[in-house]
Amino acid sequence: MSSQVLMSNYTHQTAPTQFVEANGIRFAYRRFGKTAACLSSLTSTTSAPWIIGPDGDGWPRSRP
Amino acid sequence: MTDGLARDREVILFDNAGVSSSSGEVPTTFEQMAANAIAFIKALGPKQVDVLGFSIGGMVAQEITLQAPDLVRRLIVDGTGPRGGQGMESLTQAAGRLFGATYDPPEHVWLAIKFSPSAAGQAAGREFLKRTHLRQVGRDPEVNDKVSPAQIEAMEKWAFSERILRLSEDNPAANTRREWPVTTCSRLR
Repeated sequence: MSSQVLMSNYTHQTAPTQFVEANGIRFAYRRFGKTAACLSSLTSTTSAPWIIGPDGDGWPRSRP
Repeated sequence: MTDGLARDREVILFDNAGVSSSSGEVPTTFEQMAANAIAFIKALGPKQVDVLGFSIGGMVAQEITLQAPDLVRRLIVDGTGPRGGQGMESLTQAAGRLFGATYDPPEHVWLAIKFSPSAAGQAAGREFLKRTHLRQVGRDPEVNDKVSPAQIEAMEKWAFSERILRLSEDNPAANTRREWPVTTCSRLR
């Protein structure tokens, strides 16, 4: 199967916040970068990294 | 950094349960945080992902790998440490001291946490803070007051766990790339 590779115009600073429901939680996420046109091509060669915390850190953003 | 990664792959960033824009409560264990993260990944649909986690995100990422080894192609962790590992208790104390101090403005906590005290380190930290203000539209709101206590409780349970997390023993398949063990947080070491 040929897969068309697309580059979204979004960056870290401009990707819109989207939402998806799972486990009874409404998760906020952003996605950007090079992506495959069809979902079935999301194989090991194009899989995405997942990074915890959109605005840059994994530690609590407000002090304890 | 994420734009650099995005040149060759799709990058997906998310708020875990109870953090900033996501609903729900922050669990008090990294195991539960990982279970939420796995549910999120599966809801989006990819069959396999590379997981990158910084700090406590790295601890969640390790638990994701243990709970769903087939979902994780690669595990990349930074500035984090192993469950029950040597030095993790002192990391907790050092983290408590740094996070417990008062900073003016409050965001200067990151100059202490993430950057060395040297002039060069602090200058790099101030550039980092500028970058965190670049996003103008749709910024994540500040986390609520429940987030830090839950994360700290999870951190303490993780640090003092008698069950040392060893991916190679608990899950041989997850260790094929020899990216284990990780070092503890370089700033706090």
